[in-house]
Amino acid sequence: MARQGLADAWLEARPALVRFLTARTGSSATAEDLAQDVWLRLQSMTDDAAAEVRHPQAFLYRMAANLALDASKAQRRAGARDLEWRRAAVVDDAGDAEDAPSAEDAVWARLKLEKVVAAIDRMPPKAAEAFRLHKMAGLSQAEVAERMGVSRSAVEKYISASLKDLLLRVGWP
Amino acid sequence: MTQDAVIKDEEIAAQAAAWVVRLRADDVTVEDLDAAAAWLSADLAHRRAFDEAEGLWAATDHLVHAQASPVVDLAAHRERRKGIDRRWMVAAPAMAAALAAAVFLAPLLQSAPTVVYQTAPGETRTVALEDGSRLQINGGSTLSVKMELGRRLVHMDQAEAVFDVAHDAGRPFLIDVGESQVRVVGTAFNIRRSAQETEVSVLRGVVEVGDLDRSGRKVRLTVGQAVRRADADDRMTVAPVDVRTAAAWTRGRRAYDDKPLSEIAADLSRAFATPVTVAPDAANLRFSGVLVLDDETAVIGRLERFLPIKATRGPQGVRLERR
Repeated sequence: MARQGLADAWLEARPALVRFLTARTGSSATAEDLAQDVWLRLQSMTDDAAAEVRHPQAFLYRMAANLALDASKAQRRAGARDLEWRRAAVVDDAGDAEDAPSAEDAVWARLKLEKVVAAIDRMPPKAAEAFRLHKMAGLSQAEVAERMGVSRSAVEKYISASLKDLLLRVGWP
Repeated sequence: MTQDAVIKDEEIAAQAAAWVVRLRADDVTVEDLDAAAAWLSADLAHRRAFDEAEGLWAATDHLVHAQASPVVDLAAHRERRKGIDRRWMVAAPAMAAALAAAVFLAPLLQSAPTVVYQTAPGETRTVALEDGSRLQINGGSTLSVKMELGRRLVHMDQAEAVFDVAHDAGRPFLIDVGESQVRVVGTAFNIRRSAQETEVSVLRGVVEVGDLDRSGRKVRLTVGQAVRRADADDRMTVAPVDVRTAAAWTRGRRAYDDKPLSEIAADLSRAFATPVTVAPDAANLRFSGVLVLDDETAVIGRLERFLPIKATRGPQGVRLERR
């Protein structure tokens, strides 16, 4: 996908994403801020990076969702509702805005590894297999479907079920 | 932040998980977004559960690494690496938790065999991998390839190779070389690994070169850029490189821009059967120009005309000294 195509996809998807982000964060001002962050990131993408994008709508959603998640984590960390704090943190790190949250995730993974392993062992075999292939081996859902010989929607159900199990048995953070 | 903030309401957890997975699918639609927005707005508990499910989803991406790279101090790590081969960092889990994970990850991580490619000095070899990627391996090289389900792994010892990597976003192409890890975004590039140094030159596309131990430390290279890293210090130096000459060895040539004789000798030892060594007093003589690698004696004769050196042939090969 060329850069221009990605920018067009953004203009088309923006209203729905802002509606979603408003519901996700509970604030239309925050949603607009996040949408602006997405736009800035699109601007700073290289042509090569843009060319890698195969599903623009999914790509844009994930970018917005990841920014919303980072904002929510920053809020948890600060224990405050002040969104300015988050914006400062995101802007300071410029290109490496994900670094602090992902370091947290790495610690989480180390601490919870045994619990996660135990939870996966207790899942129905197909749910466990779909989860492993998608999250551990990095296959797309379509590739998981092909490999397991089941439909795409079945894969989605298996992965959702395994995520629900992890929520109930391990939790986050 | 509360520890173990486990969602108690199973129904809400199931819905939150379903939304997280639906919205992150490749075929997500505007209708999905609006339906999710309606669900989120209906109840504050929905929003909290969604936030947790999103956080969990992102955090589980790190599970493989938690298993694969236990915390070790850098000095010990280096020592071990110099000794026996590291076997992709997964063979020796250092924690009890890692051991447990090895059991459930084992079928994924160990199903692919490691294939070792070795070339004699003077021998070059082209290898076609099952994914369509192509490796042109220069002489005197050893490297191993492991085609896992979710990623493609190459480990380079002393070696030089041109990589032409087939695009596959779901299966990253990773190269462990020296202290560095090269992550490929879909592209062609040359890697040259000598005894003390790693050099990566990008011929097409984009390549990310990072640290094996610190994932946050990385440089992104694009066409016409090279990064050089000496084992002695940890600095990565990015410099422009001529894409026409960076992989000239594949066409029987070598281009040098103000390079020390020691580096040229290493290249000649790779290109020809007789090893070439340099006396310390000549190691830092600089050379610029293109060498046609037709015949070892002829190449050395040309170097003797350009630089104040003389070559002596002995049982150990050719030795270059200052004259």
